Amino acid sequence: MSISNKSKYTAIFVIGILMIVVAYAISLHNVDSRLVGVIISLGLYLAVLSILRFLRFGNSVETDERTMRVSAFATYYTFILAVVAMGTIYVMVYLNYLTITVMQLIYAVIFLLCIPYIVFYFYFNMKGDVR
Amino acid sequence: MRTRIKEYRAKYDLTQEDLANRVGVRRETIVFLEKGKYNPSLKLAHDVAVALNAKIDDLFIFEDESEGIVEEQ
Repeated sequence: MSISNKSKYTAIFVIGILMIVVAYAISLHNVDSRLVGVIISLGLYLAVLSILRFLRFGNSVETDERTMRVSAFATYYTFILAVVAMGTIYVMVYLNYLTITVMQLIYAVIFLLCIPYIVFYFYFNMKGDVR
Repeated sequence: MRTRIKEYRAKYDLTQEDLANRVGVRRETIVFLEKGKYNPSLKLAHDVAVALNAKIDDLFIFEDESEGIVEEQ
């Protein structure tokens, strides 16, 4: 059963709004404000993303063999880059050239997995193919 | 590789968007196919050929055509 883009994005938008409403409701019950903030941020992200993607793609195809190939290679190169970077960080910490906290390491990992993927995807997409 | 997709598209008065919708791919994919910058899978090449009422060999031309390496017996 195929779902139209409109139905899919409407569902995502509704989920986002529901998350915001639920976060507001639980904020009235003495809950950690950071948790409320995280849920509201996620809900807002889903709502805005669904609108933007629907405006961009409408009811046309979102992914095809080319975009999936580009995405796969971007993921592959991002993984290689992240492994090399993490290995470098490990050596630097081992040799006491660098001291980092766990949170800083987590931020580094998130950065290394997200930004390079976006760059590689953009590069291969502009080029047209991965070779 | 070069392609004659644009010629055939013009012959049937189809836009890139029309062809993309018929084949089930993004318009950008048709753009890169026409420029010869994307090597399609056999299935996609077949789907494009069917959509343009042509043969794959007519649409996709590999310019370093060499003689077959298998000799007939």
